[in-house]
Amino acid sequence: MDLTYSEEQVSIQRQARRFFERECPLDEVRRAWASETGLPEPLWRRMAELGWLGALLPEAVGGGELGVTAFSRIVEEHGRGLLPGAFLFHVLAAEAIRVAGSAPQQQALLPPLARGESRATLARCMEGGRFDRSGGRFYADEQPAGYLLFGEKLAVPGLAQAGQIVVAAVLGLPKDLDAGLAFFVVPRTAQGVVVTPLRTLEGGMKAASLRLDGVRVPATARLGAADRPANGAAVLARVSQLADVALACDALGGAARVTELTVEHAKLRTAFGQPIGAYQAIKHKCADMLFATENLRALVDWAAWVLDAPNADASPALASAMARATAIECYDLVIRHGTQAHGAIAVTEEHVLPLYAKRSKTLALAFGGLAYYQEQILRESGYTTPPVRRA
Amino acid sequence: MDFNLSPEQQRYRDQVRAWVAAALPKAPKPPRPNQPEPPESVRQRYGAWQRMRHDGGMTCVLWPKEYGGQGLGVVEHYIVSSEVDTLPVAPPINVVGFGMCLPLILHVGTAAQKARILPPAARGEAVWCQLFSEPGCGSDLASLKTRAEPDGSGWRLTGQKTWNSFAHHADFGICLARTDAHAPKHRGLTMFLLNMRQAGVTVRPVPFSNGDHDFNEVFLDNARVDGGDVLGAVNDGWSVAISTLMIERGTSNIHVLFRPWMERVLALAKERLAADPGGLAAGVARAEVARLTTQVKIMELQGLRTLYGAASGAPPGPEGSLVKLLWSETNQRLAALALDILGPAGALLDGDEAVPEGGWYPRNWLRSFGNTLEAGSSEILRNIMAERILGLPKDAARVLAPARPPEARR
Repeated sequence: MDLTYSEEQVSIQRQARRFFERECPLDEVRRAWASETGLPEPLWRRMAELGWLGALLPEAVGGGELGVTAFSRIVEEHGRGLLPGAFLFHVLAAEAIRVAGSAPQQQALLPPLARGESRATLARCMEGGRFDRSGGRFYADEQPAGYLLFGEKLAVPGLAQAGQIVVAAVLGLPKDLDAGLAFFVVPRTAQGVVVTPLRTLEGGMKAASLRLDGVRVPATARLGAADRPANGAAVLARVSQLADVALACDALGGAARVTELTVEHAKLRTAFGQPIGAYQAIKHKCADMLFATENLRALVDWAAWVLDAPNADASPALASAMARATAIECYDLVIRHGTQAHGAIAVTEEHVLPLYAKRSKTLALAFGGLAYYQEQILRESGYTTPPVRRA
Repeated sequence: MDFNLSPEQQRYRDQVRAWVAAALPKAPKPPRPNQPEPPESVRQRYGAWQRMRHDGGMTCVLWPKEYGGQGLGVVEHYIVSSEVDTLPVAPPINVVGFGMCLPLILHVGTAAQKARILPPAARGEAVWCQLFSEPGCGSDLASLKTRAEPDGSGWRLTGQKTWNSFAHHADFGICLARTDAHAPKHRGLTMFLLNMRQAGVTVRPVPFSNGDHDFNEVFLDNARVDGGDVLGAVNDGWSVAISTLMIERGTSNIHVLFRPWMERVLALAKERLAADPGGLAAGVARAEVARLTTQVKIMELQGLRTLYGAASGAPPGPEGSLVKLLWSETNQRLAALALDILGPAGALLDGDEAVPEGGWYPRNWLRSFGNTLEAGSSEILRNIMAERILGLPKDAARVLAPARPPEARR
């Protein structure tokens, strides 16, 4: 048993905090959120030099082989600094290619992603505000010389800057949608790819809607060997679990920062002759923020370990869902208490708290909301699924 | 990071499990369910089982061997807590002793005190209780009124204590009393080792709202303490009391003892939600079941973290408050959830075979209100977390308040 971060993990986290504070202070975050492209190109190149863009990839394709725990140390700082989010989706897309791609596909696609020469994102499963786990709403039709892709998604995060889009699509007319899921890598510039930028609550994710209007791709665009295509359900599971731990970690960094800011404020601001943090009405809010954040930290550390360790005592689907559900409620509580303790200044445009509030809700709603993860926890704990209610 | 037990720790756990499998058939048998059991019988069962644990090396894992312990580490302590303390063989009448009083004596007692007190307790021959709270003070413990007057080489204690769990079984208690009425309230207190079996000590039951008898109130009328039975220094009782509470909230593993009850509720939830997945109870409960399933996992992880901190040599600190807040609030919510799931049957105590678990769920619900009060109320825990971890200032009203009103100090 060892419940500490390794020296390497501690030093990566320290480096990430210094780097984000220096290279992307709050003014820069605000500019990036307001811009069309999000994360500034020089920052992106520096992150590539640090090896973060290929954090989870094998060294053979230029990756850092950091493992989920070390990667989670970077992501916590990413959330703390409110970094415009393309980084997360880039790493997730690369992970999909690593898990699903054949050796030649990995050799061709991954080194440019690790070097940051090309940005990628992952078009998963959002449509009309609804979410389901299946590849949903993208369809692939097998053709003599490749595939024809159709369908649309309302909001794909990171799409504004992506050159490569990893698309999960339902192939043919399978009985079981998950089993029939195939993964494709589609260049943004392909004929029939229609991207429409969206204005969003939080400006950093740079979501756009994506329509595939009969996009022709060669057979090699489908991830996996030609005679042995990737198991779509397994790929989706791994990428979803990684996404859930990463988003929980981003929330952890943000929630911990808001707690710090609130405690600082409660020590400095005085009312009725003493700092407001001396009153239990405020003090107990701060304690609850600490409590929620530390509980989330315990869970995130464990979930990252479960994803890394082949001999872990729990299923990755359970651990990641627990981390995500807890992150959603933790960040929500921290934002509510933090805003209340700050007073009216915290609801103004100039204050930093609303930036965290927008981030928190965007993370909470991404890839399914709280109820989705609560149901996943129950399913993974052996509870039966309720029958679908019909009107 | 590695949350798995090491191979040696796994071997130790296997040993413990093997001991349990061999010991259980020989363990004292509980009386028939829902039959009142005389205190002598409870004490006898407890003593027999504790003696078996002692002889098998399955108790007092952290204590040095010379005091009847095993001289092992906190992980082994945790393993024994999980595998043995949770067995429903004998009522946990010395849980306060093993969780608080005796570790405290191990921490701050003299060599003579330790040699005299610890081995018989380990063998199950002595039961300990804690005499801290009073009718007029709980959270504001330092304002307590029980006084200790010098009497030759020893002391005489007079006053009233309350919320004394298992004091009706106890042979001894650790008792906080005022030795200097003129010092600021935190500075005039002393911790005593009190013999409960003497004429000046009267124990009266204070039944819980669910009918269980764990709590007592204790009246001290010139109760005698020998000079050698001061724990720590005279007038340094407050820092000794704080160490007790840190131990209580840190390595005492109370959360492990709650685990079987929590799992009982989760098992009920699983069964009922499966029986009627689309029903009203399921609609009400699903989100809360998911939350509390997660909370139980968090409790285990935070317990391990505290343990790991202790294993790395850190003294018990304010982080223990997090674990205490966690188990108390989790158990309370689970106890309430069970009744929501049961519906009308959740309000039945007895009288028909069909009453779920002989009325355990509503009795557990009533008992759970105490969880967020005992061992530091949730409000006090939040103060500790905010002041000692986050560094927030104390409320001016709580700084340097005198022990007695100013007019009484002249």
